[in-house]
Amino acid sequence: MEHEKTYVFSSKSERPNKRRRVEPSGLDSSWSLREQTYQQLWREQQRRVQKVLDDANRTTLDELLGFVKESEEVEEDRKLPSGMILAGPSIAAHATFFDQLSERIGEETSSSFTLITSTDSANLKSLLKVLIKSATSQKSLDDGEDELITRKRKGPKILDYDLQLLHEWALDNDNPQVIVAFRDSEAFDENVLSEAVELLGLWSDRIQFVLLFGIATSIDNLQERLSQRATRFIRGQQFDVVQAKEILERIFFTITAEENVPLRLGSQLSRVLQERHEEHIQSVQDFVDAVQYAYMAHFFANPLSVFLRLTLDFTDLAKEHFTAFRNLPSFRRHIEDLLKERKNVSKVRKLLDSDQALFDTATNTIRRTQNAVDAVIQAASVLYICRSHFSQMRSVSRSAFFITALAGQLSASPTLREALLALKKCSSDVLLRILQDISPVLRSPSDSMVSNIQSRLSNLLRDVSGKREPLRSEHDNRNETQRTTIVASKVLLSRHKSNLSEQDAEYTKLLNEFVNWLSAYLEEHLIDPKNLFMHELVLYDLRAPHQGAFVPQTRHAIEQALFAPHDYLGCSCCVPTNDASEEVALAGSTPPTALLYRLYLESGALINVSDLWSAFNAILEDGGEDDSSKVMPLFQQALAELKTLGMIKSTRKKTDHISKVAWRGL
Amino acid sequence: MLPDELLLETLVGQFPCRESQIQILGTFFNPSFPTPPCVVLHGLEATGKSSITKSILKSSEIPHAIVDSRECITGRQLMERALASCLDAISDIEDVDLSAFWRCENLSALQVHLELLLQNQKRFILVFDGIDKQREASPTLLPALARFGEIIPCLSIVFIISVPSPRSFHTAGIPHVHFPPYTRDECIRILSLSPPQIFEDGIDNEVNPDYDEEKAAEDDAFVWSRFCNIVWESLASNAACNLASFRAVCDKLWRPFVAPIVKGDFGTRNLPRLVVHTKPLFQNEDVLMNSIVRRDPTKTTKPIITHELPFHSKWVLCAAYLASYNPPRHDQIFFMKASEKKRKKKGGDGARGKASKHRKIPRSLLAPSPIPLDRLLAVLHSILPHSLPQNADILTQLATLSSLRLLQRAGVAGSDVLDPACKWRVNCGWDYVVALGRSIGLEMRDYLASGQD
Repeated sequence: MEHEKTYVFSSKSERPNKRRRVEPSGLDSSWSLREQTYQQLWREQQRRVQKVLDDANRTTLDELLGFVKESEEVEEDRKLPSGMILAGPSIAAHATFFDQLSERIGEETSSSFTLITSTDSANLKSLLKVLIKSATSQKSLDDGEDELITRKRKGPKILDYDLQLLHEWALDNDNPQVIVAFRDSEAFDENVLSEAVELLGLWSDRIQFVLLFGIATSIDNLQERLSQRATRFIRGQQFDVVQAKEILERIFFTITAEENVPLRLGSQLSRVLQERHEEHIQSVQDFVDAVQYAYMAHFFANPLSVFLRLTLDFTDLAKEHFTAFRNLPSFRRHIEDLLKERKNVSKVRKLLDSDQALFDTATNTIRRTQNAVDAVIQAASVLYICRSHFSQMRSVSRSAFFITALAGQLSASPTLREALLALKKCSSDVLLRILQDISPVLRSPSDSMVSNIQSRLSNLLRDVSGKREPLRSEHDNRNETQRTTIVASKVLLSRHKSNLSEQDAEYTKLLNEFVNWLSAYLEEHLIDPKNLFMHELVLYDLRAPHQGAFVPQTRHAIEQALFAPHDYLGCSCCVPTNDASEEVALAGSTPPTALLYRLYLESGALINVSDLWSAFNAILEDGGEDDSSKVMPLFQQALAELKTLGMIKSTRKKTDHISKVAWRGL
Repeated sequence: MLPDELLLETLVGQFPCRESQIQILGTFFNPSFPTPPCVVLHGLEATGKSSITKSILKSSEIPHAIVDSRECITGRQLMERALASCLDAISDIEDVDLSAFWRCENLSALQVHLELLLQNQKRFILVFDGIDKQREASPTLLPALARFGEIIPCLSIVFIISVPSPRSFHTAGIPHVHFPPYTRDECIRILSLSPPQIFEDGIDNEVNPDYDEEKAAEDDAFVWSRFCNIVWESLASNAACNLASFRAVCDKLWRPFVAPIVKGDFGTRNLPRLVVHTKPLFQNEDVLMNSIVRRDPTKTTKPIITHELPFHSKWVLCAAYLASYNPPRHDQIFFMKASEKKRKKKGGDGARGKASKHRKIPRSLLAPSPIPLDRLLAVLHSILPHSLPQNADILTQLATLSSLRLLQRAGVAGSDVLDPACKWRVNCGWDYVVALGRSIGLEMRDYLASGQD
C-alpha cells in the first residue's frame, strides 16, 4: 500500500491486543503520593528562589523607577532621559528583568511602557509601528477608547508609523510619559537604532519619552554603535543589575544550604551544574529548571522517595517498596555493620523479614539522616565564616566550599587545617567577631559552649579595657623573637617566646579551649554523607539524566550514528570485531549513507564524485550486489542525504567535485 | 512700511549677526510684495535657517505650513504630512471640507489636493525643512516640488537645505539665500548675550553686604565673555566651530571653571590667575566628545560591576577572531597540534626572510573575512588547553554571541543557519579581543599571522 499517498487504515481485530492497566500496582502505586510530596517540596523551594530573584533586582528596579519619576520633572530641552541598564551577557535574563520592570512601572506610575525587541524591528518603520501600537493600546487613563475615536480629528488619515498618532493619543491622556525600552540593544541594527533615537529625540518636545536600553556588553559598545547625532540626543544614566554569577550563587545557597531542606542535591551533580553555569550559560532560569528537573527525577523515578513524606502510613506502600529498600546499597552496608556487632542478629533478622519493622526503622532513621546532612552544611558554614575573617586565606566561592563539604572532602583537607592554625594565632578582637558571627548559625546543644566562651572572653576584655592593643595568643608570631647564635662557626637559630602577660596567658587558654572544641565539632559533623544510612533518599546525585536533558550532544549523535550504525541498529550483519583499535571494516551490509559517510571521512577537502562512486560500487559488489543499476540509486540517495545533513556542498573550484563542509569530532 | 521695519528690528535683535538674511526674507515674505514661487535657503548646521524662517513667517500675516523632513521616514509620509499641515493652516482661516482630502500617496495627489485647497487663497507659503536629507525620497521630488509654485499661482515653496546643488532643481532662476556659518567674533557675541550665573545658589549677602544682584550680573557677563574667548581659542576653533557645539562645550566647562570662584579661592576679576589655575580643563579634549552617559569627574565613581561573558564564550570569540584574521593557509602553522619546534621551522623565519615585492595592506587593517563554522570550531579546539565535549552548550553560546552582534552571520543577510554555505565573521575590535584573551590566559599575538603592534 505504500505507493498510495493516503489510504484508510482498517484494523483486523476488534480490540487491541494490549490491555491498558488502569490500576497502578507494585512500585507505581506510590506514584500519586510521590507527586504530592514533590509538589509540596518544590513549591516551597520555588517560593524561596522567587524571593531571592525579587530581592536581587529590587535595588535596581527602585533606582530605575526613581529615575523615571525624576525625569518627568526635569526640563531639559530636546534631550532624551535614558537609562542604560547593564544586565549582563545572558539575554534570557533580560526578559525576566524587563518583565519585572514593566510590572512595577504599571503599578506605580501612570507612564505607558513599551518594550521593543530586535526581532520586531527589522527596520525603522516596523519599529515605529510596534512602538505606537503597544504604547497606545495600553490602559488609557479614563476608559477613553470611545472618546479617542470621537475626538480623532477628521481629514487625511495618518499613516500607522507616524508619531503624530502617539502625540494625539498622549494629548488625550494628559500627556503621560512614554517609556520605550530596547530590551536587547546589541541585537538591533545600528542604523535602525540610531535613527529611532534621533526621531524620538525630535519628538521629545511634544511627547515625554524616556528610553531604557538593556545592555549586555558595555556602554562604550553601545556608544560606538550609535550615530553622533543620536548620541547628542541622549542624556544617560547607568544602572547595574546584579551579576548573574552572584544570583546563581545565592540561589544555589538557598537550594542546597538552607536548613530544613528535605531533599538536597549531591556534590557531584552540584559541581556539574555549577561548572556548566560558570563556563557556558550563566542563565538563572536555566539553573532553576535544572534543580526542578532534579526534584522531578528523584520523585518520579525513585519509588523510595515516598519516604520523604512527612506522614506516611504502612498500608500506603506496596510490598515491592520494601524489596526495593532492601536492595539499597546503604541498607546493605547498614546490615553488614550491624552484623559486625554480634548481638544485633535478631534485629537484622527482623529487618530482613518483617516489612513492618523495616518501615518503622526507615521512617525513624530518615529524620536522623536529614539532620546529619544538615549538620554537615552547618559545620561547613561555621568553617566558612571562620575563614572569611582571615584575609590571607585563599578565597573560595561559597558554593564551591559547600560542594566540597557535601562530598565529604573537607574533614581532612588542608583548608581545615589551615583555618585552625590561623585561628590559633588570632587576636582577641578577631575571635570576638568570629564568635559573634557563628553563634546564630549554631543550634542549641553546641551553642552553650560558644556562649560560654563568648561571655568569658567579654569578661576578660572588660578587665583589660584600658589597654589599646588587643590580646594576643602565645602562638602569635609577634610574641616570638628569633635569636641567632654562632657557636663554633655554626649558626644556631632559636626561637624564644617573649613573656606573656597574665591576660594574654588567660586569653591563650581560652583560645585553645575554643580551637579544641571547634576541631572536635568539625570532626564530628563533617562526615561524608555517602556513608550515611539512607543517603540515597536524602541526596539526589545522578548526573546522567541531566546531561541527557540539558546538554544534548546533537552533532556527536549524528556523527556516531553514521560512523557506527551498528550501535543503533544492533543487527547481526555488521558486528564490530572485538579488537577495539581496529576500525569496523566497511561492509556492503551497512546502510548506504553510513557507508558513504565512512568514505567521505577518508577523503580530503575536495572529493571527486567519480572516485567516490567507484569506491562505493566496489564495496557493494563485494557485498554481493552486482547490478549497478540498483547501486546507483542507493549512491545518489546517500549523497543527497549527506547534503541535507550539511556535510557536503557543491563547489565551483573543480569540476565533478564536491567540497567537504563538516569534519568529525568538532 | 513702518510696522514691518519695526518687526524686522525686533527679529534682528532676536537673531544677531543675521541682518542681511532677515532683510531679504522679510522682503520675500512681505504681503505687499510678490513672493517668488520658489526660494532656497542654504547653510550649514546651526546657522539659524529654520528658526529665522519660522519667526519671520509667524510675524507676517501670510498663511503658511512647515514640514520637517527629519520627522518623515518615507516619501509617502512627507506627502501626507505636507497635506495635513496645509489643511491645518487653511482650516484656521476658512471652512474646508475635510472629507475631500483623506489620502495623499504621491506628488501628483499632493498637487491636485493643493490646487483644490488653495483655490480661494491669495498667497500661501509651504516650507520644506531639510528636504535634502529626506529618507526614501524619489529622484523627482525636488524638481517637482520646485514647479509647484508655477502650477499653483498662489503657492510659494521654501526649501531649507544644507548645501545647494545647481542640478537638483532642474530649473534656473531660483533665488538662493545663503546662511554662512558664524565667525569667531559672531559666535562669541551671540553667546555673550546670555551669560549664565556664577553663583547658582544665590549670593550670600552676609559675607559681603555690598555685593548685590546687579554687580553679580555684571561679573557674570565679564567672566563669561572672556571664558568663551578662551574656550574658542583652546578647543572650539578646531573642533567645535558651529554655534551649537560651541555652546555645548562652553556649558560643559562653565561649572568646573567657576568652581574656584564659588569656593572663594579667586575673585571674579582675578581672571588670569583663575585661567592658569584651571588650565587642565582646556587641555583635556574629552569634552568635545559626546557621551551618552554623563561622567562627572568630581563624583566618586561607584564600584563598577562588570558583566563578563561566560568562560567558554570568551574562547569562542577569540577563536572567531583568529579564524577571521588568519588566512586559512597559515592554519597549519598556528593551529596544528605539532610540537613547538616543528611549528617554528615551518612558520616564522622562512616567511619573514622573503619580503614580498608588492606591498600588501596588513590583514589587521582589513575587514574580517567570513569563515565557515567548522573552521571556527577547529580553531577553538586547537587553542583550548583542555578538551571540550562536543555538546549543545557551545552552539548555544554561538547563538548568544551572534545575537549580541559580537559574531555576525556573513553573506546574504537572513540566510539559513542550517545552510552549509552559511559563514560567520567576528565583529569586535583587536583591543577588546586582546583584553578578553588575557583574561583567560591566551596571548592572541602568538596565534596571529600578521603580528599586531
